[in-house]
Amino acid sequence: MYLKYFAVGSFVLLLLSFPLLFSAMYKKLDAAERYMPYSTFIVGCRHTFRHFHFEGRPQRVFAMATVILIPKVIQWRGMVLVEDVQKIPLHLKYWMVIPTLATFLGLIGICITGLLVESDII
Amino acid sequence: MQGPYAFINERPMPYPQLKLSLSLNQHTHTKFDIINQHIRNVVVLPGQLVIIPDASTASCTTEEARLMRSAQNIKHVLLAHSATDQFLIKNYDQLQAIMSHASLGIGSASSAWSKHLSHVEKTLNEIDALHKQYLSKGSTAARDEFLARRRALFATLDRQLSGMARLGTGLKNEGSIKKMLGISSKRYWHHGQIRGYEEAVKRVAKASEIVKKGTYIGIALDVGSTALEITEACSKGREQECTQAKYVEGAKLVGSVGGASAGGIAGAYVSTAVCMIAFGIPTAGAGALACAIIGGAAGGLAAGKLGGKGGEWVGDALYHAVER
Repeated sequence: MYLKYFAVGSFVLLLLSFPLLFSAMYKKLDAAERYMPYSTFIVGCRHTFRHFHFEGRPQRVFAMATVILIPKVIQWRGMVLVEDVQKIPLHLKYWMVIPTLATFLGLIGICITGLLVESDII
Repeated sequence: MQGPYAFINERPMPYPQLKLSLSLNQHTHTKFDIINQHIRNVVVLPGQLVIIPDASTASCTTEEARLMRSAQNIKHVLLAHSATDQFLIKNYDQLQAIMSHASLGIGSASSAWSKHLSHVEKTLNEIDALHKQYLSKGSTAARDEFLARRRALFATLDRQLSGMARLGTGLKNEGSIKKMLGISSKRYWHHGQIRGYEEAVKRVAKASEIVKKGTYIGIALDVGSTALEITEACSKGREQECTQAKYVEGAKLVGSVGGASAGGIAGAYVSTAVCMIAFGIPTAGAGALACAIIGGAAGGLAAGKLGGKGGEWVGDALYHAVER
């Protein structure tokens, strides 16, 4: 029974993540990226994904979310400064992190559902 | 490029002509005949699968055997239906296996790759223009200038084709750029011929086009198959089955396309981020691009397949909930 809710929930979350991600990448991404012009991680991602669909904006939102969620790990590799991350306003942080988590959780959920269906568990 | 690959023939063509148009090297000629038994010495119809053998080995690989089986299946279906205009829909199963999910996954990276290929094409065209320009002058002074400019263009091309970046250009790693392009300086000076050159340019241009359209073909195949499944269920005259098919197939389509798109985007990002953090490639050169493309393809393929299955199950659950 719970598996049914989990599967439908993941499906809905994945669908919901698309409008969220598109809003974030076209309305908030540029403002958020302005806070870290010297981060090699952010600049590197922007450079790598510049010719991808939508100028690589979805991936850039994910990169911003990664930097916000695990700044110390990225700083350990010398690709960002924790002080720069702290300067990002809270509402921008939410705009970067929530669509990313929604996409990844929805994706993981739908993949788990697929695996369970494949192995005849549900 | 290592490993075999296959393409779908676009227009009716006699087998020898098709073989000639592929500019195969001498070693792969015999192997090409062996693995393309299904089309050998006949007119190759549009939609038939043509397999380009793995040039690195003379024996047949497992992947080649699998492609041969797919090619045979496609041939049978084609002969059974004979209407080639409906080819994409009728051969959905085989085609989907080859390109649907994978191309959707690669789709997230495909525009970048096609851009890269168009840069290679531009450099090749510049080399071509330089050769023509020199031919019209032909003086000794012009020759020195020509050699210097050509060396610079070759260096650019070498950079563009280094490592993974060669993939999809159809240009094999045969040592020097001149050898790879089929340009022999000696022959050129004496006969003014650039062997295989036009083919290289055309091949790169075509690869760029195909890569660009891969995503849309993948989506079209998925949508086409969903429409077919629903039409088939509804044509049987049982209303219940028809409604169920709409729920199940609709959700399967959403799960498959949504999963492949999100999986492609997420896979490209995750693999690039892991490569950057683990190997430290902040300069984001060809290595990072390769990580992105491999991740995008793998993510799209896995999430597309599992998303399709998950979506199918969710559609079925929704249908039963609504029915109750």
